[in-house]
Amino acid sequence: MRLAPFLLMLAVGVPVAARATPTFPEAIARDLQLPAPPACTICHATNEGGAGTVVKPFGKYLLSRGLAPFDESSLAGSLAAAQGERHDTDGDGISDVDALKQGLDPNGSPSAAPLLEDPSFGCSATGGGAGNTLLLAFVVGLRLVAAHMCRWRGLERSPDAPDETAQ
Amino acid sequence: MRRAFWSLVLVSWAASGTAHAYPFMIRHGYTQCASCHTDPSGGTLLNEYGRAQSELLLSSIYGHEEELSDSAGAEPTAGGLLGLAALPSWLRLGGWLREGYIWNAVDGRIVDRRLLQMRADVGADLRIGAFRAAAELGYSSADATTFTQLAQITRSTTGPNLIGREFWAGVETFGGDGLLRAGRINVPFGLRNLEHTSFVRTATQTDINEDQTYGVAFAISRPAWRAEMMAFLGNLSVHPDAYRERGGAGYLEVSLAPTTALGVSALAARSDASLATRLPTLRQAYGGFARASPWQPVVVQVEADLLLNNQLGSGAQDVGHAEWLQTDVEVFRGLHLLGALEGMKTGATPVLQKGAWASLWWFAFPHVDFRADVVQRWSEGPSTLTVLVQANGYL
Repeated sequence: MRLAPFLLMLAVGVPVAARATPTFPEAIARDLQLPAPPACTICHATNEGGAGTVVKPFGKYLLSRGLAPFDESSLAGSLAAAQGERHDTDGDGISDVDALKQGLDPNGSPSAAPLLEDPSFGCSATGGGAGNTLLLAFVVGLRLVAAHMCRWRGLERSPDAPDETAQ
Repeated sequence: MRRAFWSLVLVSWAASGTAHAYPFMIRHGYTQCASCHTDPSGGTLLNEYGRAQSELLLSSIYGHEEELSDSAGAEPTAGGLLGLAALPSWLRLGGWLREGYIWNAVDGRIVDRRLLQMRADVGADLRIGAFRAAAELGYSSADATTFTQLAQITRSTTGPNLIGREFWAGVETFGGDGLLRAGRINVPFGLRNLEHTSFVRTATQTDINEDQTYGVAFAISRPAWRAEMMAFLGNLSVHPDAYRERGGAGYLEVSLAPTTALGVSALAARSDASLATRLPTLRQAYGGFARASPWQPVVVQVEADLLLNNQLGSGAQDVGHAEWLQTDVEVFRGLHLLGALEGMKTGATPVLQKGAWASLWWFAFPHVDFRADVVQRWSEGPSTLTVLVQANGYL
């Protein structure tokens, strides 16, 4: 009885899409009083930005401090966290905020690791469609188990079962 | 700027959250995790005995204790998934659903509040003769991607993901006291405390939320001591290979008395590129930890770790530290008041950070608990205050 609702709740998570935010460079410049907006690549893989391209350590750090797409107040908050912690992403002794104020990339000099691609996560065999299929199979499996448990507990009435509520 | 100095680490509570590891069970004389958990170092599925003890010792009771003890002692549901299904003796199943709500404040003003999907996992454990295997699979919402990516199976960067914190297979040795296993395993280091955002867990990267790694581990649990050692082969969920850490970790905990245990831990891991700096890095952590219950309602836990971070090839070394001191008072059966103090200083955050936790944790019913935490943290900037309430159900 108690397992079925639990599994059903487990199976109905609602995804929330992440998006890119073109106003962030200007907002960073305004918040930190920079002479010019920083490049998108302090957070994104390229200056094109785009969904799912926050791969730079500084960008991931800001996300870990509550940065949310299209939410400039969350950007201000995460930058304030960086300032308060004196966070130094590249460990060069210059805090991220100071690096931005000096026109530097808080992720460090590109020459430090020129050939290294950005990190990605997940099993290499489960990219794209295969990953979605796996996730779908997981959710469907949970639903099937929940349905099975309902039947096992007699929660689902068979069509020919007597209607006990009929008096 | 100052208005929104967000919660520092507590946002990471948005991650699919925590497993069940209750080091405070030492108040009942349980120094061994393997007594109740399928993982010899704790933190995952409960075995039949653990299920029974969760009702007998963990949850609030609403009636005469003697009567409950008599009936619960024989808990007929212990090995049968709460009586919902008859399971074969070689199979244990489990599931976790944890949801929460968080408020973050800076200088007394709320700057963030939201619902958290913390954990939605199912797990299974097989024990066929000496053969053992276990696996957990979970759902991570898009919002939690940043905090569960190290455990991702699927690779979506914009949507939800399937995650697998643990999956391993192994064989029991030494009459069942030892377990040699390989797979994705919790890193054996320090206290396996539930507060995975505590400084000691984040600084050593040994939480049970996403910091598991692939490797081979050997654990042994004797009446007077327990230990686990693990060789890291790298987290295969991280690409490319340069970011994967190789090395090892381990702990040894000795029971000085039935309710007192003292341990030491060590960790050393090298990667060609640190995820933080992208530079070749050797990361080391060495520390001690202790648990003691001088009086059954009270449990004190402490951990202190030395952190060494070497940027290989440059001669640069960061020296830091992280500490945790927690007191747990069980006011009455199932209701815990907790207070903790913590500190941390690392190369990335060279200013000493301090934190204080006050928590109320109620194991209201068997397999259901509620928790509220208030966490204040201080560093150079404005202090942050985080309030988190959460409900947890597990099988």
